[in-house]
Amino acid sequence: MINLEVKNLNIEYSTRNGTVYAVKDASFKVKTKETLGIVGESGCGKSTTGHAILRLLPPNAKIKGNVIYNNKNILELSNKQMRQIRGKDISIIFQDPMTSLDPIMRINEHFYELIKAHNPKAKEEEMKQIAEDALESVGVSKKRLDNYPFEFSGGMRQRVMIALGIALKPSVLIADEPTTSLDVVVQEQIMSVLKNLKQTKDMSIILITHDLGVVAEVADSVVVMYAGEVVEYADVQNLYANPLHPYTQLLLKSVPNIKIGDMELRYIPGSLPDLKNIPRGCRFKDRCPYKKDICDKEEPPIFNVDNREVRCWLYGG
Amino acid sequence: MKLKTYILTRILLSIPMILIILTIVFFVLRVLPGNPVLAMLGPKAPPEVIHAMEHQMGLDKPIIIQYFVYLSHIAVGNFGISTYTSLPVLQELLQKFPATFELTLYAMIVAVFIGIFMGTYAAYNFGKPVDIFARVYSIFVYSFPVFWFGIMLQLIFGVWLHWLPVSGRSAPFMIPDHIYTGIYTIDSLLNGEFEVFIDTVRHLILPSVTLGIVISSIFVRMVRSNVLLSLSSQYVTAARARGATEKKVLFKHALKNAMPPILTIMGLQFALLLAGAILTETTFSWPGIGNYLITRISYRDFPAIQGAIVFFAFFVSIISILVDIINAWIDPRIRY
Amino acid sequence: MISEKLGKNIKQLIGDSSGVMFLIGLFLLVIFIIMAVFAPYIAPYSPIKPTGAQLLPPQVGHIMGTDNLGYDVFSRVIYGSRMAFSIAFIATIIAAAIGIPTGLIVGYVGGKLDSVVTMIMDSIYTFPGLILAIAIAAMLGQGLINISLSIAVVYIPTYYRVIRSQVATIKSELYVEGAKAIGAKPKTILSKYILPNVLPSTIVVLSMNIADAIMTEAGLSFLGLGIAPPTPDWGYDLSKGQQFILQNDWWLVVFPGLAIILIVLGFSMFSEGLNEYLNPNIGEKR
Repeated sequence: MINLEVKNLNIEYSTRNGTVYAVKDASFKVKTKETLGIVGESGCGKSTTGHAILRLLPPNAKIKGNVIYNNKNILELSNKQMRQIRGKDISIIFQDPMTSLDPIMRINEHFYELIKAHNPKAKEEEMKQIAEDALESVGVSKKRLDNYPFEFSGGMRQRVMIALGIALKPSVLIADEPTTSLDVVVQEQIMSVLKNLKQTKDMSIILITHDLGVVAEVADSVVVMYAGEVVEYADVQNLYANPLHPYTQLLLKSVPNIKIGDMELRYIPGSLPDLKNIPRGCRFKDRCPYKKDICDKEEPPIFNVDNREVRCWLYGG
Repeated sequence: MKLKTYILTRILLSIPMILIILTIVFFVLRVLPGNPVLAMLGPKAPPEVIHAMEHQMGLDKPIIIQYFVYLSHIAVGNFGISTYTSLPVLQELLQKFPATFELTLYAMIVAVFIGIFMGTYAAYNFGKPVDIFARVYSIFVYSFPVFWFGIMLQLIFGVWLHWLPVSGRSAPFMIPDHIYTGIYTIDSLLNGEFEVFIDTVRHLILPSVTLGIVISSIFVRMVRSNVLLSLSSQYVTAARARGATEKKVLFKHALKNAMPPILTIMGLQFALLLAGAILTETTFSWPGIGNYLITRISYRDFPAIQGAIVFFAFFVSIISILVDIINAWIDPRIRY
Repeated sequence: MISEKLGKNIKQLIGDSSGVMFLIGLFLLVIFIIMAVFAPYIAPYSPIKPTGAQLLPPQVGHIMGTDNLGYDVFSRVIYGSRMAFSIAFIATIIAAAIGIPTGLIVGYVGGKLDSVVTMIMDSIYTFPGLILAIAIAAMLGQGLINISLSIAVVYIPTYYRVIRSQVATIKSELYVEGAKAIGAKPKTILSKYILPNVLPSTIVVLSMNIADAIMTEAGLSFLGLGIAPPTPDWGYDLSKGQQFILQNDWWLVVFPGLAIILIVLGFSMFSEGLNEYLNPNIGEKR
């Protein structure tokens, strides 16, 4: 069953220096118990997409398209209806646990705020129970409910964030780079928390990251984004075994392999196009080793290949 | 650190600062003018009278001894006898203090109210007309001399519109029967004297609004910039992500987190408030300590002048300690 | 061409809100400076001689009316700028002359000297400045230098603090250590490396200080502790004028007050704009 479907999502920012076309025509689906990974380099629009689903972008952002949850396009809901969804049906956890918790509120107050926002009549014992259960499922002692955020380490704070994200049993959890600002050891811990949640809860997870390793571990399907567009969309095995889009191929090749000694680091030459001034044709053309003439003239649409999606002229047209 | 420990530490820390101010006051009032008695009595006074006065005031002893006598007197609350009224200075100060307190209290309320609401809404509506208005307001009003603004309000509301009285704290005989706190607005209500209350409020409006609006200019700017900062932080987005309403986000998260620096500024502004109070009291003939200081200067009432300034020094220190304690209470990180 | 570049710069300034502020401030300041310097040529009458009937409302011949002694208000407002500027400048220069070197030396030496001096300066700084100025002015008496001194003392800590905190940071920077390593004397280090780096910030402080000093001076003379009459002084004129508002002689208070407001506004906007230019705010997000 499909929990969330994003169709033709377009996001623009109007800034002092012009309009930034942050996301163009993004489409993907997430099923129950499925973990979808969204990967890409910094600035490719993956975080923006994640925020846009819950309409958490700053006011100068214009969002167009369909985000379908429970048979409704939630982009068209009123603010009040949207608030009901946030934290309860769809949750999001952020990248930097240091700054995502209100420094002058205790942890239990964070939970109470969350619960009361959706059930104003909730009683103290109920709320405490929900908070304790949530903390337990991420491995944080319930004795720490009274603590302030600064009394936790980074990894613990992230767990608390996750606990807040799952406390009301959402159908979809969006994890925006949950391990990026943590060291490798803590990263492992958080990943196992997420893996555990994946198995024990019924929810879908959208995992936004630039770390291909993390995606390989946890995701069932993967969306690869580049310069604001979805360039490849496939299930995780096929993507890693047989990447279709040149960008994906180069990305995977650039991950150093510890088994091959003394390897030269491979990278993708060039840099992202200016999102205020998108050039004609394919956005990846200046860095693509397989560029053809048509790549300069027209943007490739999404092609369906073997139950997968690729945005590249190599596969059609 | 527990709150109690912090309170103790904070009080201990303020002792050297009070000492420094007291020393400076001593230097200014005793050492600077050379001979304060001459300043008081005038150059034509006969030498025996001058010597007698000097002796009486202990001014014929070496400076160091005078200094310690001065400190020890203050420590026990002996602020001397006024040369103008022959009453103990401390008694006069305590009698006048409630008037100043009431004025500064209401002025602060006005300033904080305007500051928080205008500043917060301006921050929330960054770039929109409300915001521009707030910025212009804070720059303009900051340039108003408080005494000029007071006179303008007197002109408009007293002379042109005849709505409010332009001077004094109360009409004749409109004083609360029983004085509990010295704060007429409270005392009159405690006594159930409604007309006195109304009269007190009518006299309070112009002076406290004058001072309050001028001080608010600083608050509006501070609140605005601090709330802007906290509104753009991650925990605000996270709160929205949990379904919090915009109102909650603005007041419970953004404003509350912006408070510690705002409170510190409020504490620092208190000094400004007191300075403004002196000017406001003079403008409105308000019978407080500020007015007392200025009138006694014209009478060369030296003990009164010294007493008033020392009193101000203590007042400022106590308020600044209180503000720091409130700050530590709101933001637990400060205690560490 | 120079004029082209100037035009482009001005255009850039106008586009930016802080630029507008800077320009308006500059404009106001220039007007007042002209007023002060060319007072005898701009003022129609002498400010200290009766030149009309008493308490005349604004009219032809006396565009701002006359006061209770028959002095022309407009002339007094013009000449008053001289008092405002001179006292403010003298006070600020004295305060800077004491505060900046103290901050430099104490900040550089550090240690116990730093703790003691900073504590003293902080005590003065947190004490209401006007009250201190009142005390000193009351004791020293009237007179241009006395009043300037009273006001100067209040602002010494301002300069001290700004300089000292910067020195404390800079002295641990690498290039200072480098200078020490090649055997430079403290005096050289201070004057050649540290001072040039801390001076820019003082310009803004100076400008805001002058605005403050003008306010304080007006306050002192309003309270009767300022320059002796009949010297034209805005604060003094305000206090004298207040007595007559019950007769609705509004011109006695409106015009001197506006003068104070505009000159303070001028300095404030000038310093704000300057500050934004020297230390631009990283764009505020929402």
